[in-house]
Order: sequence, then structure tokens, then C-alpha cells
Amino acid sequence: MTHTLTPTSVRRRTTRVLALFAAGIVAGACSDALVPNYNNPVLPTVINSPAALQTQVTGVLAGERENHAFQILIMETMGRDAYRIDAADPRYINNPLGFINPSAFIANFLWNSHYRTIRSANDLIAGVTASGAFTAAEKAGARAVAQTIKANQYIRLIETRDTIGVPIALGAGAQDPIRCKPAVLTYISALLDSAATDLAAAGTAFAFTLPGGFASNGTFTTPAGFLQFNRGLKAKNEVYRGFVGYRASAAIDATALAAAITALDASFFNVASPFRNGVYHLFSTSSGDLTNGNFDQSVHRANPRVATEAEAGDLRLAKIVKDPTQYLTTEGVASDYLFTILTGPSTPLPLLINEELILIRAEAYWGLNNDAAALALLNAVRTTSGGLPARLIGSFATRLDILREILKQKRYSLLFESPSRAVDFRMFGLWAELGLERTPGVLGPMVVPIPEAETNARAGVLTCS
Amino acid sequence: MARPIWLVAVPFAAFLFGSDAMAQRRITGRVTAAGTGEPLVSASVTVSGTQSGTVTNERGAFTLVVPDGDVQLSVRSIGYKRKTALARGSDSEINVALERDPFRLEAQIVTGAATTVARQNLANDVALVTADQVSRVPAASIENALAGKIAGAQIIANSGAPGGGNQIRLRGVTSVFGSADPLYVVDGVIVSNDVLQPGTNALTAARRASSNSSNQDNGVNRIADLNPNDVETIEVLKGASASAIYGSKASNGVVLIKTKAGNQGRPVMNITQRFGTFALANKFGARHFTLPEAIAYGAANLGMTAGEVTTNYNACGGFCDYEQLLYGETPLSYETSINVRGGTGSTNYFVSGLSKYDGGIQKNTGYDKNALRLNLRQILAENLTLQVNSNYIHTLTRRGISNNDNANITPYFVLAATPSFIDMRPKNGVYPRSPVMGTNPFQNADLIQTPDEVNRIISSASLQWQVLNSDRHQLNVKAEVGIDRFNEQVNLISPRFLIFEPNDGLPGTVTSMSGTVQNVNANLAVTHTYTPAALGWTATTSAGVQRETSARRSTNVVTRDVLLGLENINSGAAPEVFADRQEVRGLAFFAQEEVLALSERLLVTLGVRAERSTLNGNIDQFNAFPKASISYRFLKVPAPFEEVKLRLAVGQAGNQPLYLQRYRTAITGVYDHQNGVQAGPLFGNPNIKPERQTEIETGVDAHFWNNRANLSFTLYQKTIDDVILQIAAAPSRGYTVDVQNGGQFRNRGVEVLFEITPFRSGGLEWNSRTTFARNEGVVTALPVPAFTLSQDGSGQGVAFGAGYGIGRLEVGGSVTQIVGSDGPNPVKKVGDAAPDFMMGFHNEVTWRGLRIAGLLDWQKGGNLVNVTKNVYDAFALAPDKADGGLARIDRNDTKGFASYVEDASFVKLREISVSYELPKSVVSRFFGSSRSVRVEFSGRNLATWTGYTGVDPEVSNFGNQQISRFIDLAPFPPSRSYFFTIDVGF
Repeated sequence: MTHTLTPTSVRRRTTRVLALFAAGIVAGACSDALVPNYNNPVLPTVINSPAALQTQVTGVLAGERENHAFQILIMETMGRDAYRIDAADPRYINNPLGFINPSAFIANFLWNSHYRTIRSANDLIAGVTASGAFTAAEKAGARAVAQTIKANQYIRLIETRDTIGVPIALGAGAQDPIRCKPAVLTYISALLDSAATDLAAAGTAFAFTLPGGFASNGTFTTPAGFLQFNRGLKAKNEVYRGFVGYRASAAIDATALAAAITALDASFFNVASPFRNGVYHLFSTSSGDLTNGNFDQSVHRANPRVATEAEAGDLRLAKIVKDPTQYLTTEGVASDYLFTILTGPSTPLPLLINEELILIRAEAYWGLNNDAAALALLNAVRTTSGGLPARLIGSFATRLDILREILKQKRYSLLFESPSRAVDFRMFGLWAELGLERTPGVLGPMVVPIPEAETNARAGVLTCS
Repeated sequence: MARPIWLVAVPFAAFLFGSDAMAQRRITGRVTAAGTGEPLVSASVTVSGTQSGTVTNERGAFTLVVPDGDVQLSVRSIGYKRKTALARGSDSEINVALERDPFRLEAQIVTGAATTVARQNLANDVALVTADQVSRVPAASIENALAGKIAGAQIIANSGAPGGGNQIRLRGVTSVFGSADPLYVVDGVIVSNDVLQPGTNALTAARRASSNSSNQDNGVNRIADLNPNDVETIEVLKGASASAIYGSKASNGVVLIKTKAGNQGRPVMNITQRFGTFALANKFGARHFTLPEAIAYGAANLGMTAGEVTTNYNACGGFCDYEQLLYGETPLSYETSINVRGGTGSTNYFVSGLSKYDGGIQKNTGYDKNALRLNLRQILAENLTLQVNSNYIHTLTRRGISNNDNANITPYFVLAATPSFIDMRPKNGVYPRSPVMGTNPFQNADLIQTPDEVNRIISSASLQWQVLNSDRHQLNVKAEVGIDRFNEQVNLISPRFLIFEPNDGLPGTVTSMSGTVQNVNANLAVTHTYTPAALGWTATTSAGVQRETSARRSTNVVTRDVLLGLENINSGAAPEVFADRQEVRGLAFFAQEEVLALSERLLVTLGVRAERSTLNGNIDQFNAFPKASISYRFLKVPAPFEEVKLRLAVGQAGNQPLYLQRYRTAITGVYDHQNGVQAGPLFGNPNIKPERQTEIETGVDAHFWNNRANLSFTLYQKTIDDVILQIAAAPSRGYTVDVQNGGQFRNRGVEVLFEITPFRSGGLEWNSRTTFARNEGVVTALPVPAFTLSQDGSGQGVAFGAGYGIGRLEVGGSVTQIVGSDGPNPVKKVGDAAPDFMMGFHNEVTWRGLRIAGLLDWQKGGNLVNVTKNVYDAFALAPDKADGGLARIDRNDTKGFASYVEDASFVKLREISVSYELPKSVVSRFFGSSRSVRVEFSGRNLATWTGYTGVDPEVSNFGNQQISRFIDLAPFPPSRSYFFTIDVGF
């Protein structure tokens, strides 16, 4: 044998090496430091710097944007304006124009992200309230933005769930009950009003910057400007309140509608301003940012009714274009009309614009039996946006026809940019007038169900109170 | 005191210098098989009670240096019974003949971190698979090679794509949201079986919410990297009663792989050359149209005129078989494997090299593997041995695009939507656009590149020191360090001119995924064996400490709007960056006592492992996992039995929480160039702890009919407590997943192994091996009301929704039940993902040099949800219905019936091989100095008998999943493989 060791030398050296080895194992391991979460941040309980505040404000607005395009797509499919004819996923047609599966993605997306954003807003409010790093005005400004966005989450929730009702998440730990639509609308109004109060005390500038869509078509980045957006939302909500009993009993809450007019006066509503003024959500292809999910022309098509039901010469028909080579069909629907309003993955989508406020005001006037005022606003849209002649009051056979005309103008002015058509037809009890879809022909669901996870967590009890 | 150099240098180097040896002598000898006198190669010869030993060379000869005086030599060889031979002080030569051990009862099975025991004494049913069983029929990965061979192991392939991707489930589902994989240990190194998803989601948008990778990317679990030809043995510990000593990674079972070692004598070389091919095994089929039907379909669904339809129809001859055209490749595949083993003096080595290419049945797909291994054993001194194993592996896998897809590029999505009379075949480089899907499958298959490259090093060094060696006391210390590190890189390239590319407004996509996984473990174990004189028992006490760290990092950059011909991620206009990083540290102490008594008839074992990990909520708390077992061999039993063993084992093992489960995570998002933070969907639990499995296993092993038959019968019950649950919270709370420990599952099962040699005479021998396993998993407690599980494993009841079958946990229900609805009943059990039972039949007939072997794998029961068929139905193109499936999809999607849950029972002819060992005379005449020559024809998955209507009853869209492993959605279809092998030994 060659090169082996003497027993003594072996013992001595081996003992030392093994002792060292053992010491290494145990020493390196005496106490393992906590491994941080390398992949995700943690929301602080106290926001103690302007930078941290900015981060959370941006987070809340990103949450608000998260399913904006998706809500429009689903509600516009229900409202007979749009299709996503996606061979890979027929549920985009057979759910909103058939049966919306409470366990599938549509019900979930249009619920989960809203409540997550509400939680973000609540965390922001709590974090800034507990902070010593901000002035009272700065705190009021942050609170106001959070409350306003939170209110809009509830508006979105009630737009999809309507009379089913939705829980008002108070974040107190216990399971919050499902509240019926009138209670939710009342709560939204209160949220928006408390935000308005805060905005009045927020000084002349926020302690944070709002995304560019608050400054691209108007100025909504200061407390005063943001208040106009807040009042616009308030007006929309008051109109919902005004007609909350209409479908069931043709009841109209004139007080709410009057409140809507008041709110509109404090908003950016202005027939003399550009109709596209307002607040937008921006999209981009930057890393970590969101693109406009409704752009993809390989699957998105306009419902052919948009073309066939239009008034001849309506300039807004330029929002769609027929291209027979782009014919798509699935699940009993077919179309070769492409949307031209979305030009790329970064095309902004309106959140609330002047033109919608004008038509909301027309709805309010109609509900207040002020047909002349309603018609004036209606005609402003017809002529300005549609290039159509103004209509005379005598050209309407019934009062309901005036409402129908308002809804028609809403359709073409807000085409594929707002969920309002489905919301309005449901609210005014006109759902059947949307017409049958698919073969052999269905009216489709009026509401998106509460997701199964929510139902299960409530042991199946979904009664609202 | 320690010199500083010891801190920086490899400590073992200190032993490479030394002086002379003690008084000793040399013994030579031969080891042969009793009866035939055939020399036994690689038999191990050790001096009893010492570490010193050797292995026999190709002539069965050995040379061993032993101390002066009488010594006992212990001789053993796999497949033969161990024998102890006395070599007197005067002997210089000794010959030993070993009896056959057809059921490998004497194989040494690992029972602790540092101890082994003969299989005949083992108190657990540990499956043992040997080299021959895994390397005869070529397989894409080592798990493929195990399918059907282990009672109690469900081994199923996630897809037919080249390169592997399999799930091993041992004795049922043992966790819902923890790890789904067994622990893999190769030569003492904890080896990663991570899946780094390749990020094809950037192209398929399977998970809409993100462009990053998704578990629908058909990634490969990386145990596939191992070279099956290097394997000496694989032991499979199937539950906590056997695996407790591996602690909180062991509740899914442990797979212990031992690689080959060198032997003394002149170098022995083996060259194995295989050639073969793969072929499409099964098609989904497509609806056939008559011309009038085609014209009607074209008008109604495609907006095509009769003339356009007729042109297409005639071009296709009425039916274009797109599956054949896309998956009809029969590529030349090969495998070259060389290994050399040998040794001189105090050094033994085993070197192996592998170069392998599995072609894919789709163009542009395939699997290259190159591997190199060196196992080196150096005796540093009489009582000190250093073993260094190192393995380098390179693989390049190109798997194409498959599975769920929202961009209409997965072939089966295009085929499901495009009628068979539409001509999509490329002509003169022009790829016609599918009128339905806005893409062309041939263009995608030809031009999308999906290279996925892995470079991996698995290396270990161990030092074994025999501190004390007397007749009564032996004290051994073993120190071991192992490292496993791999880097995986994927560069997907989808050129901008592909028809579908402009759809997102950003034509051209290039990605770069780079991930690194590293596991390091260091063990120190002390083993003391006490053999009191004349009392006939042995007590083995072992104790030790293990330190483990693992880290995993990956970044994925997806860039779009990439100019033509550019393939770097910096050439795109719209980049997105994703990153993932995880880190785990753990420390464990273990101790075990084994008593082998009553002339090796009784074995009693007690052990415990205490372990802490940074994955737990309380990172300082040690969790203890105890075990105890007893076995007794009855040697005096009535005929026809020779021996009956009763065994009972109880033990606990854990399953660690996943990295994110202890954190309450927020998520980031950029909005208008500002980075924002918002509440996240996962509500982690800062008090999370490992799941705890308690297993009790009992069984009987009997040998009878002159040791020609062996029956093992095992019953077990696994109870899993503190189950980690990702409960679907009420989303109105502002999060969707709530992490909790709670609830309990119970698996009960039976396993049977029956081995018999029905015929053995005149050189003809028939060996047969049958395995049977049945497992039933039940939810016995839940801390919350029953809830559904998403198919994607995220815990929320989302993903595909109940219409496609969904898992549901409810007390009293099967763990793996699939619920859907039958219309009026919104939640009804419609199936179960777990099979009723599994059986494997292996038969082998040898006659002289000829060997014929076959393996049938039968899985009875178990359901899959054939969502692929749902897509065909959506376009009225399913092949099995006159209406193309319209009524079926209507029932499913609008009336709420779960219409796509199918029985996935199958019988597969997993392996068949015919080999011929050339007679010595022929070898010496035609192959000169060659020692042996074997030629072989083998095939894998040559036949499948199933009522399942998808392409393969094994597939899983979401890859490895604990429960939701039942979604078939546009998979890569399965292939059969045929190989011709010539194996030459020198």
C-alpha cells in the first residue's frame, strides 16, 4: 500500500477536522435569521413618509384600474355592444350571454379585485391617519382620494350585482352582512360626501401625484379638481339611487335626482367644454404596468347590432369598421365588425367623462319630468358627437321614447368604454328591448352572480339586508 | 488549535499525506455463483467489522489487504445471499460461492442517516429497484423508468413532450397545498426536483393575469436530469413510518438513489449504443365532413362561400389529418453510454458518460442530454475512507407549445376550432391563416423556438472514519457534504411575422428566463455498534446533525415588439421583468437505536428527528418526528414456506410550508411610471407549522416454494394532521386565500408484491412480478366548511370553474373527489382523480443468452376532465358525435352539467424488451477483446388500452399537483418509442 496515514496521525487530524465540521454545522445554524419575503412587499400599518404614501396611493389607483377594461367587456357583452369571440375560451360568450358560472373567472374578477382595492384603501386611510409625518390637510387629501376610489369600487360592485346586494367591508374581522342595493347606494353617497368634506380641508395640493389620466383631459390632480371628479361620481350614484325602485314599481326618488343635479353642478359637467374631458385610466407596455385588455383585435368584435341599430349618418359609427376577412363566430354569435376606438395596448379608457355626465344629467331631468332640459342635453350630444340633427319634443311618441333616445346616445357616445348600457336597460326595466342573442335566442343574465367562494364562506346564505 | 488553513482549504486534503501502513497481508480469491460457477462481477468483499474491503473484477477475482491473523470476510453481491467466510492467518487465497437471492432479501436498505439493514429484516415495505430494472428500456427520465414497478407508487406523465415531466405519488395524496413531491436523495445529497416553469405563458397567455410563467407551461420537474444508467439501486420509502428520519420533507415519501461505485482490478468498460425513434401513439381525431356538410358548416360558422369551402375541401381530399401532419415525425434518436469502473491500490473509480438525443414527434422539439460522472473512493488509511462523487449534466429540451392557451397557438386549440376540410398546409413558404383562430399551427411549430437548457452539478464528498473497531464495539463517524446546483435558461423566440403576433399590438416576442436552484446539505453522523459476546444480538446506535440550505432564484424577461431576426431581450420595445427568489435554512438532529437480536430474527428500531426550518412560522422551534418499528422472522414454518416475517412500523414525518405561506403579502404594480403597493390576495399565516403525518404500517413477508416465491402483503394507514390549507376566504374580506393549519386526512391502503419463478429448468427461467396497490384517502376533519379548490392549485375556487370539474374538500369525502354539477344539484361528486387500484405485471423469461421481458401497467379507475374535448365541442368539431359535440357543450356550459368527466382507466404496455447475450465463442471471434456483447430491441408505451377519449389518460395541464391533477387541456400527445441497443463490455 502506498501513502496511507499512521493511526495516530489519523486520529489526531480526523478528530480535529470532524470537530471543526461539527462546529461549522452547528455554529452556522445556532440561530437562523428570519428569511424575509424576497418577492413581495408588506403594507405598513403606519405610513411615515411621502414616498410611502405615494406608493400606496398608486397601489389603490392601480387596484381601481385592474378590472376596468374587463368590467366594460363583460357588461358591454351583456349590453349587446361587444363580443370577445375567443376560440380558446367560449365562456366570454356563453357566460355573459348564457349563464354566468359563479365559480368561474367572470364572477371572481368582478368581485375579488374590488374588495382587495377596498382593503388597500382602508389600509391607506388607517396608515395615514396613524402617521405623524403629515399635516392635517395632507391627511385629509389622502383620505379623500382613498374614500372616493373606494366608493367607485362599490359603484362597480353594484353595477354588476344590482339587487343581489353586496357586503360593505368594514374590516372589523367579523363577516360583514350583504347589504341590499339601496343601503349600498346610501353608503356610497356617504363615502363620497365624507371625501368631499375632506377635500375641502385638503388645501391646494395633494401630498402625492395622481396618474396622468387625471390631468390628460382636464385638471383633477388638485383637491379642488379632484372634488369635481368626486361630484361626478356622486351624481352617477344619485341617479342610481333616484331610479332604484323604478324597475319594480316605476318609483322615482326625486330627492336623489335633485341631489344628482346639485352634484353635477359641482362636477366638471359642462356642455360647453370638450365632451371627452374627464378622468381616464392609462395603460402602458412598461414593465410591471398594465395594458388595455380590450385591445386585442384577434378576438374583440362589435356586436353587429351596433351598426344595424344606428341612426344613419351617425359620426360615431366610425368607432367600428366592417372587415369581412375578420369574421369570427362561436357559441351562436358572429361578427366581422372591428372596434377602431382602441388603437393599441396603451389606449386609455375613460373612467368618467363630461359626455357621460351630460347624459346622466339628461336621465336625471327625465326622471324629474323636465323633458325639455333632458332633450336639450340629448340634442347637444346628438349634434356635437353624432353629427345628427337635433330632435324636437314632438317627435317622441311617449315619454319613454325620450329615455330610449338618451340610452341610445349613451350607447354610441360611450361605446365599449363604459358598462352603462347594461346597467341602464336593467335599471329602467327595458332588458327585453336589448333583443335576443345567440341561437336559438336568449335574453341572457341581467346580473353577475356572487362568486362561489363568497357563497361558501357564508354557508350559502346570500340574503341582503 | 485549528490552523487557519483548515478554515479555507478543503479539510480532507490534510489526509492525502501520510506514511507507512501497519502489519498486514494480502489475500486473493474469486467469488462465483453457487451451482453455475459463473464469476460474480462487482461482488463486495469486506473484512467483517471493518471498513476495509473491495469489489470483484470482471473475472470475479479480488485482492484484499487484511490484518494479520484470522479474519472473517463478508461477501455479498446484489441478487445473491450474503456469505461470511473465514480466512485463516495462513490463507493467501480463498474462493467463495454465493447462493442466489432472487428477491433481493439481502440487499442493504438505508434505515437512517447512517445505518442500513438487510432487506430481510426490514420492518417497512421499502421498494427496491435495481440498475437493471431502470436502464433496460430507455426512458426520458428516471421516473418514467419506474412507472409500474413499485407497489403503492402512482407514476404518471404530465405530457408526451420530450424531456420528462412526471409525478410520483406514494400512497395517496398527503397534502393539499404543501409540496407534492417525494424527497430525492442521491448519494447523500438532497437533490432538487423543482420545476422552473419555462415561461411559455408569455406566448400562450394561459394565465391571463400575467405574462410571467405559469404552472400550465408544461415545465419539467428536474429529477429528470439524472442519468438512469448511473443508478445502482433506488429505494423508495413510501410513508412516514419508513421516512421519519428524513423529517419534515419526508411525508410524501423519500426516493434514495445510490449510484454505481468502482471496483478493484483492471478497468472494465461498457459501451451501450442505442438507436431508435418515437412515433405518435394516439390521436384525438377530428370530425369528418361530407362536402355538403362542409359547405353548410362553412357558411354558418366561417362566413365562407360554397366555392371557398369546395376549394379547401378538395385540396384536403375531404380530410386533412392535422394531428398526423403536426405530430407525425419519427426522428432518429440515439443514446451513447460509456462507463468505466476499476481501481488500483487504495483507489476505486466509476466514470460514466452519456450522450443522448430523444427526438420529438413534433418538428422543432427534442431532448438532448449529456452527462458525466466520476465516483471516486480513496482509502486514506486503514480506517479512513474518502468518497467523492461528482456529476455534471447538461440538457437541452425543446418542448414546443402545449397546454392551455388564450392566444390560440397551442396546436390542439387550433385543430379543435378549424374543421378538417380547411387547408392550412403551408405552400411555398406561405402559411394560410386558420379562418377561426387567426393563426397557423405549422407556422407556429416551424418557427417558434422553445429551447430550455439546464446545466447541473451534483456533487458530494464524504469521509468515513472508523474510530474504534473491536470485537464488541465499533464506532464510526461519517461526515458528508453535498451540493446540487443547476441553472436553467429558456429563450423563447416568436418572430414578429407569425400570424398571431400582431394581436397584442406588439408583434414579436422574445423571452429570457434564467433560474438557479441550489441545495446544500452537510451531515455528521456517529454510529456505534455493540455486539456483546455470545449473546446473539447487535445494537446500533446512531446520532447526528444535518444542516440544509436551499435557495432558488429566477428572473424572466419578456420583451415584445421585437424586430425581425433579433433574439436578444434588449431588442424589444416593450420589456417586462419578473423575478422570484426563495431561500430556506434548516437544522436537524437525529438519533436512532436499532437492535438486531435472536440470530438476526428480531429487529427493533426507535428513532427521532428534531428539525427546525425558516419556512415555519416559529423559526426557532424544533419539531420532532419519532418512529418505532419491529419485525420478526419466523424461520421454522410449515411447508411450503421457508420463512415468514411479521412487521409493524409507526412513524411521523412532516411536510414543510411553502415559502410564501408565512407572509402576509402585498403586491406591486406600476401605474404611469410610479410603483404602487396594494393588498395581496394571499393572507399568510405567521404561525404556520409543518403538516404532520402519522403512519402505521404492518405486513407480512413470506418466502415459499424453495425460495422461488415471495409474497409481501402490507396494510397501512396514514393520518395527516395540521394540514396546511389555503382556504378560499370570503373575497369580500379583501383577500382570497387564507393560510391555516387544520383538518385531517386519512389514507388507508393495501399493497401486495408477489414474485415468483414459475419455471426454472434446463437453462430456461421464467420470473414474474406482480404489484397491486389500493389507496383510499378521506378527509376526516376540516376547520372550515367544505370548500372547492381551484384546478390550478392556488387554493381559490377559480381557474376553470366548476363546469370543468373541481376538487372539493369536505369531511367524509374523498380527498381527490371531483365535484361538478348535474344541473339541478350545483355541487355533486362527479368523479375522483385517484384510481381505485393499480397493478403492475412484470414477466421475464431467460433462456441461455436470450431474455424477453415485458411490463404492463394497469390503473383502474380515476377520472380526468377532458377539457380538450370541450374546445372541440365549442366548434362542433368533436369526432365522436354527429353534431360535433354541440349538445354536450350546451349541457356543460349553459345547463351546468359536468359533461367532460371521464374514466381514465388504462392498461399500458410500458416496456417490452428482447435481448440476446452473444455466446462467448462468438464474442471472442467477432469482437476480439470484448468481454460480452448484448443486442436488444426494446419499446416503451407501445400499446395503451383505455376507454378515455383524450389522447392520453395520464396528462395534466397544471403539471404536478397534489389534488387537481385531472385537467386534460390541449396536451402534447403521447408517443411510443422503439430502440435497438448494442451493449459491449470490455
